Amino acid sequence: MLSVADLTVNFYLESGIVSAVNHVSFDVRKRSSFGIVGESGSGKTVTALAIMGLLPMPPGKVDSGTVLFKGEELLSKAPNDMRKIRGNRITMIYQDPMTSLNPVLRVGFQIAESLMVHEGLPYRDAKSKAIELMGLTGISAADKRAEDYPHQFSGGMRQRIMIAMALATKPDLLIADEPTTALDVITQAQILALLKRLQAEYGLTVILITHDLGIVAELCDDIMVMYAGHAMERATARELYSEPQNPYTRGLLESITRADKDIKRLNSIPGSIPDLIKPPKGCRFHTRCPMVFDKCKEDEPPDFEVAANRFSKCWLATAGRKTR
Amino acid sequence: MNETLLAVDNLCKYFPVKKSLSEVFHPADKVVKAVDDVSFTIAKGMTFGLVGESGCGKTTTSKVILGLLKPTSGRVLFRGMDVSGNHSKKESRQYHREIQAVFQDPAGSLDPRMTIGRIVREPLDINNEGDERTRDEVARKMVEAVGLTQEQYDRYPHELSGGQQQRVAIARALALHPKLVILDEPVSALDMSVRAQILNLLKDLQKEFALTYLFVSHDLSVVRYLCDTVSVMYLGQIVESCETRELFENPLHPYTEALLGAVPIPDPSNRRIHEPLSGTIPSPLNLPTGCRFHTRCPSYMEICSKVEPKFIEIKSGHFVSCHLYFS
Repeated sequence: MLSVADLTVNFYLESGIVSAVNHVSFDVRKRSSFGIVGESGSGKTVTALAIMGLLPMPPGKVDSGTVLFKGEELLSKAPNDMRKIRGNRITMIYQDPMTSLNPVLRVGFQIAESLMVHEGLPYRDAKSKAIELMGLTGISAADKRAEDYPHQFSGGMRQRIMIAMALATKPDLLIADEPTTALDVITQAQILALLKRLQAEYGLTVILITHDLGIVAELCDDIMVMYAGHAMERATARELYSEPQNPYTRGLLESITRADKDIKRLNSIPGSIPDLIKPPKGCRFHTRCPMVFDKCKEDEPPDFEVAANRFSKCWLATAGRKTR
Repeated sequence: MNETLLAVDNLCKYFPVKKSLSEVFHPADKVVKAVDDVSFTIAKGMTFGLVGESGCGKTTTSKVILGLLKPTSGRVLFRGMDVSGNHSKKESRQYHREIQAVFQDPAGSLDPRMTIGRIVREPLDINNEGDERTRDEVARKMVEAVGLTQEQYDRYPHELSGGQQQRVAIARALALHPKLVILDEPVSALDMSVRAQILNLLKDLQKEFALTYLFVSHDLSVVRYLCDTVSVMYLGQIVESCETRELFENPLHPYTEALLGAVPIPDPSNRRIHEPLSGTIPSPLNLPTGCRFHTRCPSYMEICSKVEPKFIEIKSGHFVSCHLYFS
């Protein structure tokens, strides 16, 4: 469905060049849910914005790579052609629904708008479809609620409206960027359950971006772990959690608190996230890695394929086949 | 059982709501019951967790304990002294020395124009602790105790990462050797890999300085890691209270069960997220009658909307307010 290869995005700022995404490759299978996990500054959102053609340029610039979406190269598309894909074939939902919704328009109209723009439906038809979509995402009395404004909804309800909007054109790919981070635990579970249900019912392909290892474990089939602009590891969810290959993934999994287990002492990763204007040479994790050796400080490891469709960007994985 | 350090007795904090100008002049009796009859005790050297979703009253409770808000009724007793009573300046100064707080957003709680050293030293300066040299020494020791370098002593907050800033906030809170530290979501704003560092640091410092913690959080996994006892709050009231392990292994209140069921577990072979509860938290301006949770409760019975359940001890040390457990 989507194939990203060798994507590199830099931001050219006065204070220096920020290397936000560096030689990142991954594939998203049709009807699957692909998770991108990482901490702040790992490049997960920039990757999504690059796919959507929404990078602020300048200062951002795609310095290498291709994004193939159903066989079409997106990065070289003209803005006008991209506009027909974005919001139509590929849609996106964001962390904070309040800032993504227009506060002075009724929500029903905002959902209907994308149908009018992309499918040329007359307002009346688009509106009734919008109401149907609101019902689908679990908003009760949708016909009445469609007349309300965003501030009249709670955070969870606003996110449902965003989802309804994103689903309106029956997209091939939905990118959800931290869709539940601003929500309470129970509301978060409601939204995650909704995404899961919609995915199963409509055969949606989803890219889920989050910092929460619990959320990707609950929702995703395949996972990519990012750190400081590098894709550290790619694997299926089960493999990643049961046998993490990359020291960073292992470190993360050992450092998270869990509600289902007593933990005597967490194994924390020392140090802090590097400054991306001056990223560490070689492997970007080497400054904090417990397994570091000389090579790591000098040469950037490639994505080693340690098993079929399982990649680790680490010199320890040299046993595997070298790819891309 | 250890000596009680802090006791909160039937604490209530109501905020009047004034919607329009006419209501300012003719006050209506509408109030938000942010904290409504909350009681708990914290034993010396323990970590007590106050959990709940946003708007449940956990932060208001901690603000009353800090003396930042006056209670509407009820008392907060710290080492037997009523916090909200009238005190001499000396007494209240002593109290404020002994209870310190660390908040969620470290960048927001540090003065950007002060060096790390001055930030940590400030409480010592205000309290005239010894001469300038000793104050400086104490502050330097504190900075080292939280895992920062001497070189960082003269830096400014913006030069540090989020985790390091939170270390500064902790150093400042501990500079006066408080007895009780209120931790209000201290790791929620931090990145995953840094979160564990700060949690471990808090554990180590608690041992080193014999601290008692009141830990306020919405994150149940962190509560499980850090706390000895927990109270779960919903709409201004405590609905369940017991030892941490007991809460996670044997939750009694349907709300606690729903909360626990909603936490994503980092284990793809054991997926369990299903829509746990429908609906949202009711408005605190318009509280449900009877049990406040009855509008969303999966075990709803007729009595729940009529009678408010009492908070009773079901078994030793395990308190819950739910009609399911009355016979």
